[in-house]
Amino acid sequence: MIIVVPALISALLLAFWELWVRARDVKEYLLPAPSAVLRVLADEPGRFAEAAYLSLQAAIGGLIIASLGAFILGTAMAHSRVLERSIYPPALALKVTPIVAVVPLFTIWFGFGLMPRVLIAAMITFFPMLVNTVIGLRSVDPRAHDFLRALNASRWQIFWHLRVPSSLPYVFAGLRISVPLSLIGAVVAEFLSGSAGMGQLILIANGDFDTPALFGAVFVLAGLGIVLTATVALIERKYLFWHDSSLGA
Amino acid sequence: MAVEVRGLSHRYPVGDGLITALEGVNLTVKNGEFVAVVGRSGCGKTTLLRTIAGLLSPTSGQVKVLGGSSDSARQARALGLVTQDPGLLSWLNVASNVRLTLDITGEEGRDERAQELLERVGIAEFARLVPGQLSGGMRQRVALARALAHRPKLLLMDEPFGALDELSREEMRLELLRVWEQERTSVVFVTHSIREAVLLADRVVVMNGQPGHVTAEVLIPLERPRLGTLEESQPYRELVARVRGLLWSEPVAHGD
Repeated sequence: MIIVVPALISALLLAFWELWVRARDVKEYLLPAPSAVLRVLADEPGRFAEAAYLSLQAAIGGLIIASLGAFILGTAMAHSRVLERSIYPPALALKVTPIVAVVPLFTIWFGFGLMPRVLIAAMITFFPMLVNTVIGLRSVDPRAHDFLRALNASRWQIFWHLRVPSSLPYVFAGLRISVPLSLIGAVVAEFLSGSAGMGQLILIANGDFDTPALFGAVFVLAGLGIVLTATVALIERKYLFWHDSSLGA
Repeated sequence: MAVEVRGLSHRYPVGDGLITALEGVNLTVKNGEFVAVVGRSGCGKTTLLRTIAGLLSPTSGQVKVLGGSSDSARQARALGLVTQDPGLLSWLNVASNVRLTLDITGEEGRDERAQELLERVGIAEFARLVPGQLSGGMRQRVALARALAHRPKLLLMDEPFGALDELSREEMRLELLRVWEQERTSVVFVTHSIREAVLLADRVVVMNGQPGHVTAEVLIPLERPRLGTLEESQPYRELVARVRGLLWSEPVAHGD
């Protein structure tokens, strides 16, 4: 049931869309039927697959850089209020800066390769990862902390055995927010610089008035988003089996 | 002496003022002695225990643990702590929770010792479960096992059975007595249950607040090993009545 019902609803929506386009004879450049979109995807699978691969590479690369950066800076911030106060303002400034304003700069600095796209994806996902990591590293059970201190555990032991595992539910919450953001960051960077990936594909299809290809890009991106989110959910279920949200407590 | 507390006071700031949690507390615990501290909620029992553990610094007064400071006792890995909400690591299974103590203190023969304790507190068959899958009583068994794993000289217990249902509490008291007969560490046991204190301890220390201070001590000369049937006996009931009288500062006519 848990798969059947959502799949049924999606199928119904697509069927309704298809019928509506056919019944009202909607022009293809306005709204192509799902069958027309599928035909475009089937005609040029290589074009979409390559673009998807490049966008995914940028998104995941950015997510990894943002997560590692958030872990390193978050660890420093969780241990020192001064560092926390010093790092938050620039991190916030980075977050509120529209990536649209930064892409041209990054393109000038880093060219049209993978680097600027990865950095944009990292930039847009860094803040949610940082905030969640800091909260997570701080959210230790005070009784467990007392127990370890009474054992004379070192700061490193407390960090490794208590803080890091305690932070995982928050880190995963950050990942769930950041995964779709990383795709958005990658595609926007590609679109604005016209360099590669799904963003470039959309830019070209737009210039050609190729509406079915635009919809194809939407389908592919939606699919990527779902797959990435599901992957994070799977990893989360494997590593957070002990958490209240998994035990159903 | 396992514990020597002299003239201990503890104050902490609240808003504009200072709250005095403890004032002039004296307490001694001999080596191998089981001392229960009884008092109402908010009388500073937990503050006293945390100060002995070196988790809080006294505002004034002296705290000696095993002949040195609390910190030196901690550094010698001589302390074990069990609290009401035990704070087990919920991502580790039962065996790993016990094992963690030994990993941190760097004991030899960890596997054997961990297994020995799991069996001693009767949780060997649950070794692969995580704390979230255990009942409250089972969790306290794990907490006891991990607090004893490194053979501490002093076991500090803060209302360890306070959150359990009545039947689990009775079971855990007897379980603690049985384990203690085998491990024989010095114990400071904080509780608000008079019956529990008298059943378990060699000596009951009565605290009153506020600020918290020790108002009386009662020796409990009941024979060991003590069993559940002890609670039916006349000497036990008399001791309970006596402690209760001291706690409420006036004699109570009836027993339970």
